[in-house]
Amino acid sequence: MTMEVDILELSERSAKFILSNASAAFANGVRRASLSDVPTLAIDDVNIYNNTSVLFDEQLALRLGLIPLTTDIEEFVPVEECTCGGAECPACKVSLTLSAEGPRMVYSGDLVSSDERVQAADQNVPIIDLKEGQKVVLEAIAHMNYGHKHAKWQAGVACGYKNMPIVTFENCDECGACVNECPKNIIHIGPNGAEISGDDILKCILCKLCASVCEIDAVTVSEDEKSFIFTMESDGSYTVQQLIINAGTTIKEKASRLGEILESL
Amino acid sequence: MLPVRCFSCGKVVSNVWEEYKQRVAEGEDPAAVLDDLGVVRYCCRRMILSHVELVDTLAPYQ
Amino acid sequence: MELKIIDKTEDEMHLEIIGENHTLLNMLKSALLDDKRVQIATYDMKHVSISDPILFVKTDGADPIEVVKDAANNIVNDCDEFLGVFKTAIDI
Repeated sequence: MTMEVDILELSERSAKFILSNASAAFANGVRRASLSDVPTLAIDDVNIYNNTSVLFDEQLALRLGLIPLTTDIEEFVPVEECTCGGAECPACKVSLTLSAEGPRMVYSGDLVSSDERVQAADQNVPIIDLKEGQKVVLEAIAHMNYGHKHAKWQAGVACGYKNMPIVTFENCDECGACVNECPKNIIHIGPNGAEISGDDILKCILCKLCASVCEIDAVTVSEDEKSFIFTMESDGSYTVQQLIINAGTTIKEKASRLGEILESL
Repeated sequence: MLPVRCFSCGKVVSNVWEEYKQRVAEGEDPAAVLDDLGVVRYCCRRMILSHVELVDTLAPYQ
Repeated sequence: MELKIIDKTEDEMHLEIIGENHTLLNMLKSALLDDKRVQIATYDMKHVSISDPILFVKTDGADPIEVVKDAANNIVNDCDEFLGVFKTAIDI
């Protein structure tokens, strides 16, 4: 059986789709890979030349690190995997500078990048509110790395899936108990008793309250073990389409590397 | 300063703070503002709802 | 990724896969269990962030290395299939 993908919603930052005829392990692989195995750029080292703001240097550095930077996965590699051998060449580091004087709010858009492809994904993330006479001058160095090292390198946000719900009604006596019990209000009484129409089934959270409240056991709730409803969101470093493609490619590379090593034994 | 990202899911939340603060001060319902700003999960909503801004309080003590 | 064969007989193998985690190992285990030649396939990771996973395979007599190699190829094919259908789906 071949896999099928049915897109339900798609925007720049978030996607919802149904993946069918896939194994649970594969679905989980895609989810895990997009959260932790797709590398992104994030500020990692900060050289602070002047900081008279209310935040400590460390707090400032943490805030800078968490700002998502637009990344091109073809152009950058993590430092440990770079051909420069840890010397930090343009393929594994990007330097950004920030220089501001109060009174004003400093935003992520004020970071000046040395590489025009690498910019803050959101230009309006507040970094620090500078009061009269306060100053911040720093150089931030962004490195590529993986989500499992630190949450700042996590490209996917709230990525998850659930199995496709299957709810069947048999010999319904139209008592309406399940209609009132459903927390998502998706059950209604149709011509042949209770039913869930059209895409409403996607909203089902598999709570099984409808089955437990039915006195004549007319409702059965189960799940399709080969079909998954995915919700994916990107932090902005990639578009969500790129994120999912990168997740698939990452797993593929891991598996083919394993194949190659075993071949060479 | 509001944390940049949601502690639980990692969504960037601090960029909605100023608009949220302004709109709530103008009398809008916080829940409606959060929905409108795309902060839909309860993990992200608590970041904003429970935030206490201390920058102005700390500013004089350098 | 680095591999270390901890011990191997004709139909069993303990394989340490250094630098990998549940993402690959769970898929690998599932692909191995779909193979008729495999009797047992499982893996163990002592600690989520500091240990390397150890894969255990027991076959009906087939070379465990060949079996794991085929499973890795099946994952590659699955990924190609997923990337193919996903790219067609987003082009619409």
